[in-house]
Amino acid sequence: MEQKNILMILAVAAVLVALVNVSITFLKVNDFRNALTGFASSDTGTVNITVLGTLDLNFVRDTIDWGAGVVYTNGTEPNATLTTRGNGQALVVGGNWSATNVYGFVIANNGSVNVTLNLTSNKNATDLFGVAPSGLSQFKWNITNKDTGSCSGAGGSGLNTFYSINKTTDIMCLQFGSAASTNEIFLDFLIQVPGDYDAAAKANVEQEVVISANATVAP
Amino acid sequence: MLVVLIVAAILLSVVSIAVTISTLNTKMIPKLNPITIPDESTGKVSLIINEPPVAPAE
Repeated sequence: MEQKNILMILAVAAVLVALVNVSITFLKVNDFRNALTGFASSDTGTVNITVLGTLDLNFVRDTIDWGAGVVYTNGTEPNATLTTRGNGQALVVGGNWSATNVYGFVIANNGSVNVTLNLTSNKNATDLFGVAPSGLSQFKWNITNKDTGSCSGAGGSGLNTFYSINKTTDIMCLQFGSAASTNEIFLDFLIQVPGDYDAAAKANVEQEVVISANATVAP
Repeated sequence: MLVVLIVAAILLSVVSIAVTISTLNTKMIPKLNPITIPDESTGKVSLIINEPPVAPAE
């Protein structure tokens, strides 16, 4: 009799454990199935997808080549200022560089989403001219809208204002538009060549600066 | 003998529960966060500074 009781208890326990096993398996498989994409989550069969936007940033005009020139040495503090002005002819004061066919960069957002535009330069004024005792060397950039309203909320840099380039990444536009009518900007440069630049290291040598533009999805 | 079989059945069921819980875990399904790879482009600015011509000696 005792053995029969033990067997009965064990049998009941086995059935209960088996029931628990079945329940857990059913619940876990159900959770797994619901977590997988492609299964409708309601009776109407709605599937939600998110299409990521494309990022496509381009320098439509990507070269500013001033060529060769000299700083005029008349005057008490000789220096030459070279300034690009978007699609307008560039300006040269105090030197004989040619402004013919010298225009500012044009940057376009050809992607499908507004972006935050960051710019980096691999050189600053000291890299270009060496240490000039006069302190007259400058290398600056500014952003202006080629299409009205293209760039807004410029991070730490306002529009239409020249800022010194310091080789760190600057946020130039918090919102750079992607619509066809508001997706292009000018990037202009102001270069002031000091008369007392480091001629031993910098004279007659092409100075080249690489400007990198980086775009991330705007907030 | 019967007792052994029943005990074995119970143990196997317990093992099955453990395996089911440990393998069918929704945390194992990778969650793909939207990937936004920054786009980059470059431009170049260049100039040459020539030394001014030296006046000929008199």
